[in-house]
Amino acid sequence: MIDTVRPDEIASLLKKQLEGFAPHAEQYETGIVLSVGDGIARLQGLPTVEAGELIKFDGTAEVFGLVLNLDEDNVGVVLLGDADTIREGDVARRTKVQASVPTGKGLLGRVVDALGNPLDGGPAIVADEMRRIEVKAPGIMERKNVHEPMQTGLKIVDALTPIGRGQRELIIGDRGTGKTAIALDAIINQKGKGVYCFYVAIGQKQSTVAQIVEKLRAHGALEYTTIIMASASMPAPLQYLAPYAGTAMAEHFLYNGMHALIVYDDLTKQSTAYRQMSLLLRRPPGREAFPGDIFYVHSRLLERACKLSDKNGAGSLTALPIIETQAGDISAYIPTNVISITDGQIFLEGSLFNSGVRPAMNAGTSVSRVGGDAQIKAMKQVAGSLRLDLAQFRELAAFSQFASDLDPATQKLLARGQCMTELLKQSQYKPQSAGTQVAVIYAGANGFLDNIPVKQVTRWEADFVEYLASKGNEIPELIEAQRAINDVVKPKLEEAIRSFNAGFKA
Amino acid sequence: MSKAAPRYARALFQALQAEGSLAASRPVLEALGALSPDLVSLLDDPTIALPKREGALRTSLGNPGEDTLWGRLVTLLSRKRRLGLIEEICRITLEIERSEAGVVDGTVVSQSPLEPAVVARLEGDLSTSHRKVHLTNSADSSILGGFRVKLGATVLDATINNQLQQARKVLLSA
Repeated sequence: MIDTVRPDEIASLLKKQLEGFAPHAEQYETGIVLSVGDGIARLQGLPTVEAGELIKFDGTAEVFGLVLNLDEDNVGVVLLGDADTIREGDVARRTKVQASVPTGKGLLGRVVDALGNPLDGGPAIVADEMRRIEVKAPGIMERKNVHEPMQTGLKIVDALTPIGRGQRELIIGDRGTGKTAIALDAIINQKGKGVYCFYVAIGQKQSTVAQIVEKLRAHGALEYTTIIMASASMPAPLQYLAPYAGTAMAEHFLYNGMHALIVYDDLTKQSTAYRQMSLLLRRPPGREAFPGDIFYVHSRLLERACKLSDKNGAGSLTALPIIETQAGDISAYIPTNVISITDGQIFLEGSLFNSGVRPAMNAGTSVSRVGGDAQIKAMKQVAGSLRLDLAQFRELAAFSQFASDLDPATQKLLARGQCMTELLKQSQYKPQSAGTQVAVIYAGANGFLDNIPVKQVTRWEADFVEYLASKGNEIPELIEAQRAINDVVKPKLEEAIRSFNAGFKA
Repeated sequence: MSKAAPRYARALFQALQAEGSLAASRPVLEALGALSPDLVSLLDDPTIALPKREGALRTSLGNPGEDTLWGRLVTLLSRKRRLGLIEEICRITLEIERSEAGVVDGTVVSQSPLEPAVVARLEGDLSTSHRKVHLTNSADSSILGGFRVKLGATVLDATINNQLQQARKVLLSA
């Protein structure tokens, strides 16, 4: 085989590739490293460097830095690579490039770092375009109100805290309360709905991210999802940049009239990384040692999620930021900040999770400020009474241990509340269509389960969902087509429930 | 670099300019600006009595009178215990003078020493109506050919090494 390769062929190939190449003298601006350590370098020189610009260190390895501090006599730079290769006195040069990442459909199904470099061992990323990591969020005139549902496939979320395309809905709770599970279910539920998903893993173990990738692959969700990973072992600047990089990748779809969903898992770790960088850059610490601009770090990120007007292509970017609380304390600095920025929150409670209520969403403290606009009419019809039932149940829950001494009306309310709580439980990785959700909640909210023992409700729900899917009665499809429980849907739905109940053995 | 030295240097430059003795003082500035680090550390040494250190500096300046500019400068530095700054002050004063005159000092690095005519031509090409470039030539055997000029923080890289890097980028991206 080697005999067939001729030197003149190689030479002609090289010549062809170098056609049009004109070597030229290059002019660039340099700076000298004054000090380096803890992922931060201080440089003298670079008089016209811009904040947010990438600079390249002339060392043995290609290491880039991101300019964050422009001081009077030096420049503060965070290192985006191996800091061990950089020494005092090394030269760094301006690239005149603001930090940017590759974007486009070539990223789908891939695992990349905060700079868009592949981490999955796959081929190089084929990008449609490069987008700047930091851009200004669209203004008011470029947007329109959030009005299309972005269903998560979880009954309790879609019924009580509906999320619309372009909304920012915070998922907040202690560790191990199912925050990531909700986000993953939301991603899995986007299959076939034309929503491109981005999962930004910040400060997580690489093994955890590997499991998430496999779960998404197993459910056929990886083909429309990009994972942006800045694991716990990566430098703090990459953990800080990852959400912005993920947003830049998602914005390609937003600005091209498509729909995207981005999950930031989690912003607590991103703020910790930013705090580390800021303290090392000697920026003054504020509350909980976070720098003064920590609110702006999150607000400018989340403001980029929006629904664009028809004139601008009507694309959308939905954001699901995740915040981890300590002992359920939502009044800490970062949780209050992000709660105030987002359009609502899904509050998960450890006590609910441990008592088997999963998703462990607290229906009282969870809200969606977009509200009914992000629901189909049918869901609005059933969710109204559901919210009331649950609110009344919460008020009376304290008396539930005296159930036998209570009057029949109160007992009925308690029983309904318990039934609905059971009905809203849902296993992970089993998202349901809007039609199925409406049918199930309709049955519970309209007393069709009053004769079913509470302990049997979960089994009833599982069987009923299977019945709806296998029987071929097309009830879920009919609900989704009609989008309301009207005279066409109602008799058929009630007939289906009665028919199923007749055959259900409690 | 001391933060105080540039302020003293700017003040000294303005005073010398106002007095019209800038050109006459240049040899003194050059001599003090090239003081060895050992001498500078002696001027700052707290184990030597301050009048002795002040006297040494006055002697090196040819014992200027108290009413002269240099005499007043030494008194001020002694009172502020900043005698060790004299080397930095003089060096920066010279830099300010060159900068005010539009002279920019730079280096040109090549594989072997360049002919003076070539350096002069480069200086002419890089000079403009507002700035006069003065280059110092040095040799670096790692350069394959061409030259690299450094003016302040700006680098003009016309080496063969750089052109090969450009070709490498083109081939890798093809």
